[in-house]
Amino acid sequence: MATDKIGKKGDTYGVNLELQRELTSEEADFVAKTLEMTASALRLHLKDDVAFEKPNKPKRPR
Amino acid sequence: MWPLKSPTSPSVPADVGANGTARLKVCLVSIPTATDFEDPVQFESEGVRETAADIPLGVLSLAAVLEEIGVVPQVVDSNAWYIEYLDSDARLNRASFSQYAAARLAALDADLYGFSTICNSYPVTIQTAGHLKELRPSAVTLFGGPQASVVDVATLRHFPFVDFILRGEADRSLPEFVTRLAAGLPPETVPGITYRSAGEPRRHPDAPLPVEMDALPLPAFHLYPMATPTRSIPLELGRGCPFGCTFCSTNDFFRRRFRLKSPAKLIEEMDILADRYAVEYFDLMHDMFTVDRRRVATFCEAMIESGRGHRWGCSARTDCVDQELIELMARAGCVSIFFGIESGSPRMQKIIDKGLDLDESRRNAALTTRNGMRTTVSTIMGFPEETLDDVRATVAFLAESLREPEMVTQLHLLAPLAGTPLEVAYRDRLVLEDVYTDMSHSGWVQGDRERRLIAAYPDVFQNFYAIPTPHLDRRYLQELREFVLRTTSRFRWMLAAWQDRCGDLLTLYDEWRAWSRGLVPHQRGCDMRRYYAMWDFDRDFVRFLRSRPAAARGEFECVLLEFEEALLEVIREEPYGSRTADVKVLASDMRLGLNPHVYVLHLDSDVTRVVELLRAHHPPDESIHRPAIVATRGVSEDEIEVVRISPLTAEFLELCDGSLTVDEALQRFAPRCTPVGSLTAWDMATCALQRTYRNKLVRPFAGERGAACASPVESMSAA
Repeated sequence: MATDKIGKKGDTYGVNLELQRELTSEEADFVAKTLEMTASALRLHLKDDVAFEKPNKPKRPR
Repeated sequence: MWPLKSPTSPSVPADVGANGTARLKVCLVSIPTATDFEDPVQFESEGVRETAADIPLGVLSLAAVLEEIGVVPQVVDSNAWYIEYLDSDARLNRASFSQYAAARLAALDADLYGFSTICNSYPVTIQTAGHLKELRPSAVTLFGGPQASVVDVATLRHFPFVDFILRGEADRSLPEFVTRLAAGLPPETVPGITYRSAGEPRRHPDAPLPVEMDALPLPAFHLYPMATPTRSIPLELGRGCPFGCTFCSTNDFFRRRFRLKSPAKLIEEMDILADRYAVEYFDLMHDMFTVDRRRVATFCEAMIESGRGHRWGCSARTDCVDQELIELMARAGCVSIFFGIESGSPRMQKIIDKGLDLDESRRNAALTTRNGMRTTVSTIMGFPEETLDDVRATVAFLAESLREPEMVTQLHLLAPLAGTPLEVAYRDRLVLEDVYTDMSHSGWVQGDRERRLIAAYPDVFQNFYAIPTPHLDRRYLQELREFVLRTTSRFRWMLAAWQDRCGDLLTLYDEWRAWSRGLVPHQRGCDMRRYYAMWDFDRDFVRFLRSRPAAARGEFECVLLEFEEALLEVIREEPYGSRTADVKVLASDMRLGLNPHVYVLHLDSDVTRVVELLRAHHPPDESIHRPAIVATRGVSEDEIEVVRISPLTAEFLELCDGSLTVDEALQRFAPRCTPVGSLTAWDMATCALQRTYRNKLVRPFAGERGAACASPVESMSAA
């Protein structure tokens, strides 16, 4: 988070994602807490209405 | 069966003679590994496309030794041809792939066609050679590779259009064969050849094994249509496995003599390929790399010293690694490891001559994942002595492995691979039935032509037959495999939770099977396999879990079930392949939508905490019962990940429905944010945008109001 940066209000031309200044550690902690996004180990196969797993195959062709 | 013709001696091409090899036109045909998959649903899947893109190491290795004698062979990528065939007029006109491939091979006008063979595609290879011989009767057809090497005599006996078979490793015998053919000399004295004499197959003694691996040239990757950069490339570490597992065919082909390239040679090859193709990952091939601990350590130390940082994977036995070696391998760039466990039953470990200590296997497999290696544990069921309790132990082994997120589990149905001790012992008792084993055929259905060929020649296609299993119903096993395959990828943590509470995943399968009797199409064959690959199964399985008495559900399972039901409630179809391009500047008039596969779920309990506890082998506690908000996001084309988010993040995501511009979303969101220190509410809103964008949750796009899904992502870059 220490490397996260913030932008400022854009007028008609946009919001720059690499703008302005770095967050202080206090600010970074606050942002991390209030805007939490913590990846979990919960992953699952999901591909629209149909899915197919990779074929099980041995390491070397036989 | 096959339109037999009288066996004739293959003719040496008329324009080839004593002038040497240069004018001999040689074509090497790679193994058609993708031809199992005819169904478009299967063929378009990521897994099959990856399989189809496998680089044929064997053929390219042989192409390289031919180049050393001045012959530059044409290398045919059978899988690429198969992809073209699927969209071809030939297919519309009901020509088989074998006919299509034969016509294209004939057009190459080669003098010698060398076919690489494995058990799965042997029927296709046989048929292709047959059609080719009809079109080009004067060309020589030569088979090699694992399957032809062990069914050589039967192949020559039944299929007169196959002229010769070179058995075993052909690094030295193929150049000799080609040299003799080019010189107009009979090739019958080439070591390791099987040929016909007076119409009868004859075997010349085996060729000596190439012992010096360093003397072999770099495979001729330049003859193959390699992509640059190349994501993954196979490279041979060495050959030979000193073990003698009863089901394994490795010893028939690469023998039991352990051979290894020197670290210097291997690193030199990796450097060359990395520089030439910008390779990201090396799939290092060896039948049993880790058997010689000292040499593995030497190799790893050399890799570390080289400083190139190559990433690689290999296969190993769990009793040939330990913590120190695993850590060293990880430091040397090993990111992937394949362990053949074969059975979770100690009794079966002895019977199949594998002899693993399963506690050690569990420990070492877990260690590899914790050292950052993607670890595959592979098992097989369907051995003739196997009982339901043995299968139960194998399934339990897999279920226990699910707690490690980087562990990949495999469950195969045994195929009697030709020439293995098991196949030899049961050769007279093999039966042909409609229960396919994935080790022989990975598709949902096998063509009638192939099935007829297999039925007519059991001594050529043993692997498609089954060894009787007196204690087990093979249909039960086949469906179990499909069930495990789907549920481990789709309901991984539910299975882990069940195993954690009950210790017996097979009981869940039995309950499911009884409950779903009217749902699963015939509980057999193609329809059954297709069913288990579709969302229909997911929905039915969740309904089944809900139908079970609440008292029969553990706390972890309750939370996971709530999550699954919430997910199925919101899920909808999304366009394929929608990816977010990296942008630095977002125009304020772009619209904000959610990325494909992003769904926000408000849950009464914390599913991510359940996963944390399961991973840590902790029992359920109060923390899982706190309300939680999670979002899903795509991490690959076919996989999603669950992210725990705060209520404020959820509020921002709910604004990203494609109707608001960036500026409008920020304007609406900022008043909900609390300033802190010098951080204004607008700053907070901007942070929300940055973080959700970087975490691949939202996507800005240029387009009309509410047109999130239809907008081409590319327009962002232009904007």
